[in-house]
Amino acid sequence: MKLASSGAWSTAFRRLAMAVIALCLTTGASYMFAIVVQSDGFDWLDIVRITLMAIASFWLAWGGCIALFGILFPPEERSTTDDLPEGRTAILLPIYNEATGPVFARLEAIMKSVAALPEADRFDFFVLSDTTKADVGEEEQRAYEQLLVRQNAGGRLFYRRREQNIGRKAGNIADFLTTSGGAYEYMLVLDADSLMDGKTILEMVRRMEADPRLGLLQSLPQIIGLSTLFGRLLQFATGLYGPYFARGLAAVQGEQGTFWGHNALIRTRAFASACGMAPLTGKPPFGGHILSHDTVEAALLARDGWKVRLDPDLTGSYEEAPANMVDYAKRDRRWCQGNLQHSRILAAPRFRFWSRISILQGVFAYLASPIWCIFLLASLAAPLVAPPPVYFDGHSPFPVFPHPETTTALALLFGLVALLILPKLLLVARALLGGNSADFGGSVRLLISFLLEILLTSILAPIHMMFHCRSVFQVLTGADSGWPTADRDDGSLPIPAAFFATWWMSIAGAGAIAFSHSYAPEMFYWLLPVALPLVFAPLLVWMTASVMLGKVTKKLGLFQVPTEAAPVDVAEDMRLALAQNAAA
Amino acid sequence: MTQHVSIDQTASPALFADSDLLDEVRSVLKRPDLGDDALLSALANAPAARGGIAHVSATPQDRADFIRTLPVPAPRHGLEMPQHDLNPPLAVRFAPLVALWHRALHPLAPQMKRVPVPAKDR
Repeated sequence: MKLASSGAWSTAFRRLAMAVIALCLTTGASYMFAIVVQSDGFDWLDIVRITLMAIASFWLAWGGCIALFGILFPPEERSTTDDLPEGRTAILLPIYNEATGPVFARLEAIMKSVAALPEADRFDFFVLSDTTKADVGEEEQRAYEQLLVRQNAGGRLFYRRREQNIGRKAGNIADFLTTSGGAYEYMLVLDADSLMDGKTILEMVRRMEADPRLGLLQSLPQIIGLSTLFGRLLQFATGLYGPYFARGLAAVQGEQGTFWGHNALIRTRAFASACGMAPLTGKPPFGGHILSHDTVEAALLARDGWKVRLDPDLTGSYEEAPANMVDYAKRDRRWCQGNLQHSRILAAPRFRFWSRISILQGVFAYLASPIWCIFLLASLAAPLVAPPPVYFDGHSPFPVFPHPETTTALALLFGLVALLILPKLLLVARALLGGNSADFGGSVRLLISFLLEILLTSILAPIHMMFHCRSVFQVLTGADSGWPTADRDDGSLPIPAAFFATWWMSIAGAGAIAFSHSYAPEMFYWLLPVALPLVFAPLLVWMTASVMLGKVTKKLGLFQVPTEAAPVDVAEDMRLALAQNAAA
Repeated sequence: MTQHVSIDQTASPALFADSDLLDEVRSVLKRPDLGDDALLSALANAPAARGGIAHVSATPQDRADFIRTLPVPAPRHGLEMPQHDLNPPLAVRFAPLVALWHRALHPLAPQMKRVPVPAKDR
């Protein structure tokens, strides 16, 4: 009891410290920006710009603090047991029109990994299909029967397909709970692209058995299996920085942690009693079934007094991710709608304070881009509405010239860039000094990869910003202008698909440059780092989706991650199963 | 709403009805909850049985291996999952506050009723 109480106090202290640091940084940035903008006079647009800058810099400072806390606070020692698990676990694989071969190959790899455990008979596997395409459904049925025979998994592997996918994934899980959930103490929820090692699954069950108030245990999935340049960049960034960001999150979230919707172990009865969600009144996008349900489910469990915990030390948990920027933006479009919808449940009854903060963070993850975009537009327009300079203010017989604030502006710019880069730099320094740089290709390659990652993410940031702005705009207006259909298995994109997805960014970038050149020349050079990547967006999106460039970086040992240095058994098994199934 | 694994009820259950196979299936799969009908359907639809089921009468190990390829239904043990309203109307949301207000007024209310304003003025 005493321990739990001290844990709650230390979590509260960390939260307070993080809020204070972020607020101090925000105040500093806003003050400096106010000095810069009032140099040519003060008007209503400056108030808008200072407000937007304050919100955006708070968001940056918040992210920087999470990384910093990840360095400062190592993961806590977690209690576990060595006994045979008492409760049975259902491993759930919800699928929806996915490519059948890879999905069942992943499942086979997980099944083999679990079968190697002495406790294998405590685990059953469920393929919960929401597939709407009849031909895909038939393929799934065939793949299920073949897997059943290959793994001798009768009574341990089940397949069911819903005719109507009411409530999407949340409805799919709810359907399992209301038909079979009572037979299992725990359920491990996967995604179609999840991979997990049997030992990790068992360790999660043991940790849950050691703590009867633990309702949900989230592992930290590592991204694997990507071969495009963008994919390798993503893998490297999440492999190097991800664990520390997760530690930082865990340090401030405490027992009101996060749920990412997959690769997490859940206590079935707690989930069933706490996490049923009535649809929201009204029509989508803000009404109807609650999307991005995972954050809300974590909040609901915490509301009923269950612990929701992220354990970043749980390795052996993997997922795949979009291999190019267009697929990444498509996924973001779905998540954006769900997260913005959460603004309606921000004031839900009995939610814990930190759960509301988590929901707000989710909303902000997508609002931050439009805020930056409006800030840029306001900055472009500011010189047009600025009052004429006052040379004689009545206090002095001599003219008073406007004081240039270039030094302050540069200091602010470097400060904001430092907020973005400094946490990453600290993490690289830690990897270099801590001796695990070999996992990332050695000291020199790690350093070059880091510099390239900073360069590429800076260039690609305006494109991400525009994709987010578009998503928010579409959600608010209920529009969807469609996406190019160019799904290739290796994640690469043809030039027309890249152009179709980003031509409007080129126009926006070129328009901003032309406008700035003609009407706001003092903003011209400040705007170029944002506008130029937009002009070349089709080329950049196409190039970063290149498998060839990805292979070149792999050959040079750049963007290497620990899972490449030491291959993952369960991923190897998955590849083997996929090859065998294709041959059969 | 839910369509479980498709089961052909018209398959010939007579093949298994007279044997101890059904009990053996329950024992091997550790599923005493499985009814005869479900098992007969599973046997009829077993992928391994499609190529001929003669080997069912083979060694216990072969029989166990065959049994472990049966597509038996999942355990039927549902949980209640009540739906929580996360965006209730204001009347519901502030109901506890209104009740608290009424409770706070409760000791004063009878006095206020007993002393009419004109009488108090007199």
